[in-house]
Amino acid sequence: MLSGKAVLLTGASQGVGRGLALAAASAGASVVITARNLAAAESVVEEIQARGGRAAACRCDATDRAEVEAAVAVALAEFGRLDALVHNATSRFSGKKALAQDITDEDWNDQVAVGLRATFHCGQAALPALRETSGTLIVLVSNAGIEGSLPLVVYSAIKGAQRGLVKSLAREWGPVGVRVNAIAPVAMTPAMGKFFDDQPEMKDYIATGASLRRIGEPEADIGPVLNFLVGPNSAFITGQTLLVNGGATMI
Amino acid sequence: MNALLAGKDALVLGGGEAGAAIARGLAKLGASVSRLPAETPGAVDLVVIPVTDPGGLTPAPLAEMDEAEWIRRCEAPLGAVRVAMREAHALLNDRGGQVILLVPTISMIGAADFAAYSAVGEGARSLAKAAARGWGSQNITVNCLALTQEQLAPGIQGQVTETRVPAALKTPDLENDVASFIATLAVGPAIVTGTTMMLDGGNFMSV
Repeated sequence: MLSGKAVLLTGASQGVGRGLALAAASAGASVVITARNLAAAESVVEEIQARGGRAAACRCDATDRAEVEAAVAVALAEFGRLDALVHNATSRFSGKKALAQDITDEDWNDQVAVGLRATFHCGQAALPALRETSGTLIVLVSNAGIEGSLPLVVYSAIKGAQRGLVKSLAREWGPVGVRVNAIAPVAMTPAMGKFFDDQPEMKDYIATGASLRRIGEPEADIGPVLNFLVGPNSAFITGQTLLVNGGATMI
Repeated sequence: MNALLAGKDALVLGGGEAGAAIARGLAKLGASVSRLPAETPGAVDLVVIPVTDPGGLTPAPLAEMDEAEWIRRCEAPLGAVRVAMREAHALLNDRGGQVILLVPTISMIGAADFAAYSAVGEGARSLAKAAARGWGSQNITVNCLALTQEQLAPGIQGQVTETRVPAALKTPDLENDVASFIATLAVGPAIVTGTTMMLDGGNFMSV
């Protein structure tokens, strides 16, 4: 499905990002794995290569414009093109609970940097290459940005903001053939596992809140949706948020 | 004068001409209106937060923006909404009341060259929803009223090109129509929170 295409992912050393990378590589894409931890990114590359796929690793803090530009350069140098940039990285504060009146500057500023400024950098850095391939920018958002989450107030705001950015960028870049979409997944990740360790009752709560009565798996459940958005069958889809949550939220 | 808001204390935070028009309208309805938290009597019944564009709704293509401009047009105004929400909570905490955010419809439908402001608008809406969930137990409601770019920044017609469908009704004006709507919410039972109401005269109907 994605043979001949190159996909760059931020925050791809674990969790949903890793699952998306494995799925894209399995579908034939060449994949650039970026993360702040280069060794962790390299381990995903080894995993992909062990399956017979093509991948390269690059250290990248997506809040740093130069590092995002360098990651795009790796895609072009290694694979000669860029068909999709997937901004998945999230702040280390994204799971921090706080009421709206109690948000700290540290929490807010880091989530703004990783969620918004990094999306800005990713879009700017990737646009010239995406124009060449009629490619796509994909942003990982969340149900929290649609419904609002009580414990995750900052996360809600940032994910909502990303959706606004996606819609307007889709209108801005559609005329030059670049599509922009968002995926709002519910999937089991190390961060979610830690959350369930602290609050085991939440696992059943979240699973039973989904019509399909389970929490998704990054590679098996979310990955195919990424592949659809990168591949040829979604050529007429832009500005959308695809909810991949087992029916937890229905809009 | 219709004194629907007689005895009510309101705070309208910023918002330029849009905020000033809402403040005049609320005052005409009998409210005691402040424009700064320090000017309030210490607690209020209603806080209005206009989410306006620091760029004055001038086009700003993302590819042409430097980081400083991005921060000015996106991160700073969204951060200002966060601070405004905190101030609103402090002023409403004792007796409950309403927070109303005035958000742009273009952030909901998307508009080329307004990605930064769209992020602010949708971020503010999601922040409002999350706050609504947390503040309901304190009898504080948080809702958004979605307005057109012409309402939020009079005189900028023609710069945003995505809203081409004619509105079904006349566009509500801020001082009379929108202020009256806010007043109706303020004196009614606290049964609506976390929602967005379109006050664009029936232009955008896909929510």
